[in-house]
Amino acid sequence: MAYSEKVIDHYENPRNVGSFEKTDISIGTGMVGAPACGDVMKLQIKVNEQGIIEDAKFKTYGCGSAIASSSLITEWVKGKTVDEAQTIKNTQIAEELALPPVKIHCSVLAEDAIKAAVKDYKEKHGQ
Amino acid sequence: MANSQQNYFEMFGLEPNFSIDIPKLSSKLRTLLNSVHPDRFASSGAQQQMLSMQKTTQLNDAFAVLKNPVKRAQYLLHLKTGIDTAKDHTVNDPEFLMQQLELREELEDIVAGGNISRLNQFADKISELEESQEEQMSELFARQPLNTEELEKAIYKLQFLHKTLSDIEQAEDKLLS
Repeated sequence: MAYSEKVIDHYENPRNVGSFEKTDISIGTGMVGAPACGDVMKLQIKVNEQGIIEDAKFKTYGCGSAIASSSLITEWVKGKTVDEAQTIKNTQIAEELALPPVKIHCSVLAEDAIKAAVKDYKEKHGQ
Repeated sequence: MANSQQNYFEMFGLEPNFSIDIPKLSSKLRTLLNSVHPDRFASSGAQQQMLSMQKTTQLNDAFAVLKNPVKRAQYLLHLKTGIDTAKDHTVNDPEFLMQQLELREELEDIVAGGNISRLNQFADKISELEESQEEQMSELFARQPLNTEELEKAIYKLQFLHKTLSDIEQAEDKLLS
């Protein structure tokens, strides 16, 4: 299967790979997995006092599309509020990366990961 | 000849259980394939030959599902409850997934270090985890009534372990080539 140029770019030069300290109060961590392909995705956001996402990091074990989807979404959420970040749809990711139908679930995984990260952050702050 | 209305277990004369004796299943497959082999119907009509080829395909399909623990568990759960776990879905189980992530990181380190004996040790560890997951699956399928929530969990856990095992195999090929 041919990957789009954008997928290859994010796959070969992934943005924001790494980790934040999970227990830090300003960090929200989302852990999701796709059993059908065995992909595992960890996505973390660092949120400032104004509720803006200052930084984001990810670690993904999976195919090129899963890595590209998580790389792209970490770029997109920076500068957004946590509520705005939650509104990102997998279809936007799939469109940007020109994912073929069989790889749409990789973008779903990234959407679910950011939602899980925001949920974790909100739970830490009693919201 | 096997009846096409039979489920995969019935095709092999088995009760629908998760525990399966794979060597026995393989020899049963050979016997069954032999009994439906197209050569046996060389002098029969075209329809009979077509039927024998169809049966051969059905037996091979059934065997492929039954010998694979993940596919067998998914098939059995679907057979008993109608629940489909084979479709794409996301799981949200931070503790388990973190453990899986750490295992993949460990594998990555081992591959980077190029140490085949460490890789073998790691493979043994994952195989043990896989076996105990299969044991748990057998117990869950033996319970009445079925706890479908627990079964769905056990299935995805097995799927992630299987993925790690296949990554290990790929890493072995790489290190040995």
